[in-house]
Amino acid sequence: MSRWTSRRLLYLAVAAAVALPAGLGEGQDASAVSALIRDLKATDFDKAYAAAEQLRKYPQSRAQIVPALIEAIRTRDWNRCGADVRDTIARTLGELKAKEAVVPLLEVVKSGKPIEHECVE
Amino acid sequence: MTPAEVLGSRGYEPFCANGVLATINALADFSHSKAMADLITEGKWKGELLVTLGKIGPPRYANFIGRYKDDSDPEVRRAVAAALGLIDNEAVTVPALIQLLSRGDRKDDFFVKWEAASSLAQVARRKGAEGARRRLAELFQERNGITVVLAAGALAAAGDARGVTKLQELTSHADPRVREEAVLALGQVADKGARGIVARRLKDDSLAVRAAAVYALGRIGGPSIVPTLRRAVEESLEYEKELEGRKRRGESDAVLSEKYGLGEFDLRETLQEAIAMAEKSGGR
Repeated sequence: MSRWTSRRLLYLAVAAAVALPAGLGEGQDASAVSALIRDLKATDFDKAYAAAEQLRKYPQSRAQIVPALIEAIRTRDWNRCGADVRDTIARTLGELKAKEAVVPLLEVVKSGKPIEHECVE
Repeated sequence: MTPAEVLGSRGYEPFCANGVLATINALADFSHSKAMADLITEGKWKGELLVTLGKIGPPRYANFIGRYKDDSDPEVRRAVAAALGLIDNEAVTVPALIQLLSRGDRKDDFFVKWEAASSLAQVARRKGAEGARRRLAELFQERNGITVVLAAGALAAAGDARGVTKLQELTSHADPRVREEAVLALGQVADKGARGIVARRLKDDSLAVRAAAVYALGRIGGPSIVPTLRRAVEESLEYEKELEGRKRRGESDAVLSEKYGLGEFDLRETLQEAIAMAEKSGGR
């Protein structure tokens, strides 16, 4: 093997070593986000509340998260403490700077659904 | 409680407990004004949405916001006072704010007046706002001492010397609440020229005024004031014991609190905060 070829192989190996975990990380994030979005749709307060909180940790998946949060706050109801879930979803939307959420949030206000803390301090 | 904590607690924060309204407030822009005004008209979350409308609404919305200045709920009137300070339409906002500042003397009116004064100070700071400053100075003729002292404070905060002069004069007003507010305001605007006048209030009849003076001197006195503050608080603690003795002997709780400021502030804590501020301002 020429020196030139061995050096190319070394570069390839280093590039693969760097790229593979990053790709795995992205894949893990994507599946975590998908799981959290599933939980967000649950009627169970604990699951949905925790999901709404956790989703703010994945700003890189904003394009997937924001529509899911908007859909949840517009259409879903939870078995208890719905106002707390709405509060947390809204705060996560705020952290993701989701301007497209303003109209849906105004609709929530108009609907008269509870938006004041009921349970979580 | 200390004077600094009391001043801090007066800050209007309508959104801290409501994520939905807080997010709307953070992200909305002028294109949402109409939808917001419709919700307010329906009576939904009037106060919070009025503040957001003041922040994002085009100037013509000042008329809409001003319509709520006579609302029966003082929290809504307070929101109107905050909102009118945010929207740029002096011809409409200043007369409405002057009304909000000059009306009412019930306890829950105070926060409406305070907010109106803060908004007027914001407006009066803007370039070419001589009209707002003149209207504030005219309030010096009002009979209600709290209105006068808040107007003077707003004018002083806007950098107008007439406000500072009036505040200095009000430190010897007959009403201890007015003296207290005047001294607090002089501390807030950090008027170093008032050091002597404020120092005289360290021997005021009211403990609340004394505590306000300790706070103010902490802000304007520099490190050299610290021994004076320590001595003043020692004397005030003795005075506090004397007043507590009068209370035990059956003197009215209300009089001791309103006239002599008993129980309003923690003097020791006030001193610690004042010393920290005075030492921090050492280089200035």
